[in-house]
Amino acid sequence: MLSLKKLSTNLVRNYGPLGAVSTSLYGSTSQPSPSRPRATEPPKRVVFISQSTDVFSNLAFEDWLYKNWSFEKRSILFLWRNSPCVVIGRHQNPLVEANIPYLESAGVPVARRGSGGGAVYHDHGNLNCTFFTAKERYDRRQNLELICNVLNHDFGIQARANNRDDIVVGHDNKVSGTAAKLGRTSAYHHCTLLVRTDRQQLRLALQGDKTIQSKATHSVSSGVANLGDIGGKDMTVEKLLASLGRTFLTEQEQDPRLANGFTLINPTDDWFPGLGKIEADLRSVEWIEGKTPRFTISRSVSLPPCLAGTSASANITVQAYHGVVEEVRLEDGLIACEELTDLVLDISTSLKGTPYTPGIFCDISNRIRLPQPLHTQRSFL
Amino acid sequence: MDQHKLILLVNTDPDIGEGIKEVIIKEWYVNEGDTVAQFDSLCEVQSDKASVTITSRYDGVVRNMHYSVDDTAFVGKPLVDIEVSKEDDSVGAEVQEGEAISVGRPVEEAVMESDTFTLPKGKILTTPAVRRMATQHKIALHEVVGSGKDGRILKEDLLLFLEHGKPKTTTTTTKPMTTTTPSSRVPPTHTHTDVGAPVVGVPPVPSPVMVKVLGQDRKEVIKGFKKAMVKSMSLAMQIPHFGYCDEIDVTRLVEVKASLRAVGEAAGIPRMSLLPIFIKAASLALTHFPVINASVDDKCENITYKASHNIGVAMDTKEGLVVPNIKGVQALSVVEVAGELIRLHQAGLNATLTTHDITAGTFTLSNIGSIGGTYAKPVILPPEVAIGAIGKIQVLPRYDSVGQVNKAHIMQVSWSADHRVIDGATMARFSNLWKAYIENPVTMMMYMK
Repeated sequence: MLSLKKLSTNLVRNYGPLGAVSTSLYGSTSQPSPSRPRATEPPKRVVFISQSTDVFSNLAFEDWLYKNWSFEKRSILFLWRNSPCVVIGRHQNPLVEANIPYLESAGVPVARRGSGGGAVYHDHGNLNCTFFTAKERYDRRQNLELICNVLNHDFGIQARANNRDDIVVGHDNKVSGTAAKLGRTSAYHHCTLLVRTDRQQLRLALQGDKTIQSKATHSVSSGVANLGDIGGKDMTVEKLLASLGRTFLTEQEQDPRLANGFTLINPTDDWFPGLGKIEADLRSVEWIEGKTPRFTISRSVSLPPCLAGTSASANITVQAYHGVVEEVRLEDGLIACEELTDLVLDISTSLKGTPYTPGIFCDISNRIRLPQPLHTQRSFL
Repeated sequence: MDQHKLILLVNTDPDIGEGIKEVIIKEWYVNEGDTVAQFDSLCEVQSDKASVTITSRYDGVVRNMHYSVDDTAFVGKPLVDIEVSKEDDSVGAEVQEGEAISVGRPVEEAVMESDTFTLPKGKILTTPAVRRMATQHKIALHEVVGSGKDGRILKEDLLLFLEHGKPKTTTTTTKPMTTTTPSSRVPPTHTHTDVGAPVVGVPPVPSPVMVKVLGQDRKEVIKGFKKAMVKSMSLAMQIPHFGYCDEIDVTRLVEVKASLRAVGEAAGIPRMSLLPIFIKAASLALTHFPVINASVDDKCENITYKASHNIGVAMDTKEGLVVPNIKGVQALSVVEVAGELIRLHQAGLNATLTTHDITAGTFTLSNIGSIGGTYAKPVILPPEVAIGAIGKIQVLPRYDSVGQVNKAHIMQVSWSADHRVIDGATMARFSNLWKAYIENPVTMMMYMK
């Protein structure tokens, strides 16, 4: 510890205070020395292609790779597709981003990924690409440029990456969304590519409840387009996959022997010990609902005559954190009779700690109508 | 202690090199005061579309966290302070096993046990020189009162002994050194109260204990159970208590006591009392008032609504007061609660209570009435937030609904609750509900889960 202190004083002395600030960065790196170019040998490039279309298995594999592999000497491009599903960002609220009741009835799963960003809809017409690198080599722009080059050269589509790191064609029609995750030593950048996605389903799936108030990351919606519509019928997911993989491997114009070729991946626990646990966690309620930041949602509930004061209905707000109800309350400023206030307080106490479900307002509504089991006397305080 | 204070700076994400200078804190993985090792994850931040895990550069203790969740943090400014020291700070003292909380003593202060005691045979503390001297003078060391630390026999004690001879009453009582219990304590068999009749076996007046005048004060280090009680009492008194008392008419329950006993016998419960019913009724009432079954941390910053009703019952044992608890009363029948009570009581008698038995309690009932007394002011057992003390059942005259004076079996209950998280109205309503169940057992039956 003593040496670190000495080191930082040295840095200040040699580079000035600013130097100490910018060089002792990467709260996550173990090296105290200022960043310098890596070893001269460029990393080997490898392409993985998933054989699974289950979103949880694929996300689990992504996480497994990120946690278990070192990317000092190699960079990976992982290509994968999913059956229809919605994937929300790490800090998003599924109720806000997706039409949960519709998805539940359609049997479409909702998954939460580990990277930030907004919500997306996947189906077989969508291709996912994940670029794994060592943290120092993380470069989103470079990856997006690679994709744009492939689209330009191999498919004649004029695509470009905009300032939000989306790939757009024509007049800002989005064909790809990006998100990333950075850790201490490794990082990944993944993005989607819409080739032949069902846009109507996409729109229906991502129609969340916008009345919910929260500080969760909000998705920024934009008009989307399918690459397949522009590139003609030769443009398929398979062809795009092959092109991307090939270009990734040969791009650096280095010795072709360094390129490893495509590797087919079966993301199961047998091949990748520990993957089963990651997958189970991704499927768990604690992760999908439990990571939801605090939010509040208000609905109007009609009151029975004995409780109605100046109006026949009241706005009731439910506040939840990590998917669990924190409080149920009447809207501010509502003049309510004492019974109603007490009743809402009782409801709040009994619902506190229970998981939030969209059906909660039905529950609350019922309780407002039903008489209490043992009528508590009006207390004189 | 030599301490270095080092500052962790916000990660300048190479991604952010394009001019973004801020990130949003999305989740903290540590709290102030946590010990972290190098490379442990500290927090998750989001910059545009990148979610970044920030890890610690150092081993140390987390001190100042400069931002909360959803705050915007600035690149280049301190994110969190990590205190690095040469020696480890010792964490606060461990709570010892067998921590006991006393129920408020009703009426008068407990009679302090006399200062006389004799070291149990075989546990004589003394120096070889003193032993030699004792042998010389043919003194049986176990007859000498030691005035040194831990009751050590000093040379002066031997001299005193030689001068004054054997003290009269010391040989009759041998008690463990560290326990001080009221000499009016009831043998543990009366944790279950017998209804109606005065508790059998309790001497109405504490038997006189001869006090030997030592001629000098005796200082003793507090340790063992007493120390645990000191610690927990001190902790408990930081809680702002408020009391709420009421009178319960248990006539109806007393009327069916015979059949309760019969069913109990058939189920293997000898001499079934009313306590299991009080416990079950409390659990039923707790379902409607989960805040009373909650738990708060030291600084009262977080409240945990406990799902399981682990109701503790104060028990008087050889070592003093312990409070084992019955786990999951919400899922137990009255018979099962009675069975558990018996098991815990036996374990208390045999000093075989386990840590599992005495930890994780969420609510406590104390049947101080089995010893005597009506109203009490019980002390809450942290981290619980409420406690009830049930007084003796007395037969008293009361007016009934038609204005006639009748014989009624009246029992008092005294609740204490943590006023930081429970208000008077809540406690009153909870008590009313509990009272309703007990006064009219049919209601309890109807709402029993």
